[in-house]
Amino acid sequence: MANQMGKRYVCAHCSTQLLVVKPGAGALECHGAPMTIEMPKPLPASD
Amino acid sequence: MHLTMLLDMAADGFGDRRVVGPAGAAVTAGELRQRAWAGARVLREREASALVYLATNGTAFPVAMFAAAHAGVPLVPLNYRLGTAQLSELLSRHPKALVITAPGAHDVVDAAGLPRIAPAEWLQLTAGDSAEAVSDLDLDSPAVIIYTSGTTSAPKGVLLRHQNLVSYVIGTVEYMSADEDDVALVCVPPYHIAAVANCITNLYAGRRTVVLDHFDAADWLATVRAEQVTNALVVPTMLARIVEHAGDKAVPSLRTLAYGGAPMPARIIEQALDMWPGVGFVNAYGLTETSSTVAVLGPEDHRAARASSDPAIRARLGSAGRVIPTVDLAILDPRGNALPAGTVGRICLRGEQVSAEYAGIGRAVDEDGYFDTRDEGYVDEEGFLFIGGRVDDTIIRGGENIAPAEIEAVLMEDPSVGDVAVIGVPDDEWGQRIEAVVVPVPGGSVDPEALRTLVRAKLRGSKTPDRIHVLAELPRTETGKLIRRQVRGLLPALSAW
Repeated sequence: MANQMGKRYVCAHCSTQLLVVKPGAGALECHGAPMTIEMPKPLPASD
Repeated sequence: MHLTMLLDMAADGFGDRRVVGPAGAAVTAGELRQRAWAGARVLREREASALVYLATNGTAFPVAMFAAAHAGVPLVPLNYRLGTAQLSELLSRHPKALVITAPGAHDVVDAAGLPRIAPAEWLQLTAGDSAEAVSDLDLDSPAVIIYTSGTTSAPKGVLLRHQNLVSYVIGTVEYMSADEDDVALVCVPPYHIAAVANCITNLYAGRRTVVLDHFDAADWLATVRAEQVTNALVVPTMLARIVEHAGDKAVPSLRTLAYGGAPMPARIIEQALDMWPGVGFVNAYGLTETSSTVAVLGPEDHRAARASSDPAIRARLGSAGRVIPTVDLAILDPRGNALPAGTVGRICLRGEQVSAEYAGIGRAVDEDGYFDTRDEGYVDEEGFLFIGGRVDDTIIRGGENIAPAEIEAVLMEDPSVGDVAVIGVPDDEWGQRIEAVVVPVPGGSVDPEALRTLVRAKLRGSKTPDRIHVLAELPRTETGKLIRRQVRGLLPALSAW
């Protein structure tokens, strides 16, 4: 379900991107469809 | 977007995970939030307008950062090595602050009439599990104020807003991406942007952070082994000491070593790559004004450069890597026009993590939102960023602009040279002439004429230092940044070869 803490979700139809900062029961939808998880392009740990 | 949101995500998502401190005495994410709430209440009760942190790094530091965030006041980490006059002046900018400082360490705090509390006392005060979140969060206060001194006069306070720091974290780190056993070792002081950034990125990733508050190569190696450190952050002078260390340098747990804060001499990173083939090296370029990292040269970039026979790819080992996806980079000429790849210009940056905001001055960005770093550089065809040096350090000799970094890099190639600074000295004929100050490797000596020949052979004759001075040590900050203006001040007293 599209509602996991810390995960990013995207819409297949528009450029909306969401980050879940608080878990909840509902699932994110956009343009009538569940949003899909965006796998991050990992950056090597640095500061 | 607020720092407290990051702490909530950590405490709610992995509250039992140990996130700060050594293995035997670590604080969990849930405990860190409890302490932050308790600390915020202390700040509210004492009506503190800022929380000054004037102490070495330790568990008190992240507690201070998040307590300040919850109280809606800025955290102000100050350099504990500053002289009394400088500290007094900086403290006077925060007249109603509470100061975390070891007792007796800084009489200047009492002289300034500011209330102080020792780090151990701060930890006692914030312990326990009865605290509750404070309400009516002030969203407008800066999260952290870090003072940066340019080559000119008084230090400027960089205002790092919550938006800057949080966007940096979520733009570069994946939430809870660290394994439970991952451990990060930080040995930069708390008044350096890397310490602030490290604190929050490691927390968001769920990685336990251990601090070494005084760097020593033997201690560093011992700590990496004892704590089974997987990720470490150093500055180039620290890596040089580690590489030179005579004892056992095995670090079986280490997976990633990040470095930054000053240019890395090629010889040192090459030795480190050869010495630890299993470690992923990361060069991170960034500034206080940009909430730390804006460009990264990753482990694969390092390996590809080291292994390549193509000079253009090998050269990338000396680059800052590629800009991160959330930041825009522009190489501009003095009039603000964009320059093509391969052409040197001013490095300018734009993005949510770019603060470029100075207390009492405002945001130093142009009409397109770009911040001029005052670093010169260029990008190659694939977007690898090469840093030339600070604009203010450019030597102008007979009308020719010369970057000290270029000459310093050549001199550092000589194995007898441990450290070097190249500066411009006023000259009646040329405007400025080039002089170099060289530090031999421990136990060694240098041949100044051979060094001048080396530079003449690799660069043009006009870039050859007229004189080479030899010193036992160069003035560098705690994080290894060269203090060029102090080098200039030393010269009249030295006799040159």
